[in-house]
Amino acid sequence: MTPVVALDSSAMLSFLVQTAGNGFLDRIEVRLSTSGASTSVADFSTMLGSFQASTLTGWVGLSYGMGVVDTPTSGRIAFRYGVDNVSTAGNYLGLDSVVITSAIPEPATYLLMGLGVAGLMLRRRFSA
Amino acid sequence: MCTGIPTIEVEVLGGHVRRDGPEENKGARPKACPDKSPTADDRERAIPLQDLHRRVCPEQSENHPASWGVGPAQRKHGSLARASGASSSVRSAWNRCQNRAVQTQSQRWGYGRANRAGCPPAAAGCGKRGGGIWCSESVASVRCELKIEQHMVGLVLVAAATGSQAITVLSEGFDNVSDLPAAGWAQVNDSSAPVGTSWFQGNSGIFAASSGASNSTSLPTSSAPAVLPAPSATG
Repeated sequence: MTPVVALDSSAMLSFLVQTAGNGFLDRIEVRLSTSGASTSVADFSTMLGSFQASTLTGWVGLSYGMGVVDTPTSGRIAFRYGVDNVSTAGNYLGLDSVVITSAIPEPATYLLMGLGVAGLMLRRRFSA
Repeated sequence: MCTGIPTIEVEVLGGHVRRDGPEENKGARPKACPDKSPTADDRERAIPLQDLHRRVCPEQSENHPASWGVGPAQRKHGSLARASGASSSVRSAWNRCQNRAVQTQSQRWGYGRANRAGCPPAAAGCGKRGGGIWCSESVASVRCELKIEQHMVGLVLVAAATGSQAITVLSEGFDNVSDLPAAGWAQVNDSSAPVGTSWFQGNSGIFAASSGASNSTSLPTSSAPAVLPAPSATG
């Protein structure tokens, strides 16, 4: 589970995944929790996507949007590895380069925009 | 009477006449104006006369030349340079308009504030008269205002540009899995018997990491992979 991060509809998760295969199925699920710092498995009920393979795949880049997040909040993203039958599945799966981005401006950006707009409004007011 | 008001004086004044200017200053004009001919730079910033009328002397304003007998045909000329070729009464009306505009600027910004804002020194030809500051030349203060306005627009644009860019909220390359808990990562091994291993540092003997150290890959936990290799040494 990732650290607690700010989440909104513009957030984007990207990462690389690779399976060793050898005929054994490896499967990973990417799940979302919007319950802040909670690490309760039950809170990760939203599955963003999954990947599975039983061969050597090489690094595969995957990206998932957070359009399901209606209002900005905080939460975690979990990478859940699991197979149903260990006699026929489960070998070796790697994860690398996990990145989460967001397009929502930070408070400092809002402040900067507010200053500029306020200045323009004052300028216009005194010019009238 | 001011006889040498340069063309640029009005061309760059746009939009600074106040209807509620001090009553005692109406009609006043500086005794003399400095010899200032429009430069090439000044001409580049010339405002079309129609726009100038709208901004400096809005319709229905007491400052509008129409109130002083200037007809529409006069106002349709391309620039104030042409307007300055009108009769002396028209020039007088325009000068009155100009001077009040300059006064408004001077009162608003003040030379001290303008200088502290990095603006050029106050224009020559200014002085106290009739209870207010009067200028026969306003290029400096106008430039100052333009500069400040540009800064405001710049702030908005910079902020907007920043806001439109993607912000990296989290970036993890798994160079050292043992550092993950301190960075806020959490693990839950929810597998049933046989219990699987937790995520561990990658084994470069199976496949190398995508970037960073060859074993900077995190590997899984959970449902007891049958042939999950033993955790390799970090590196």
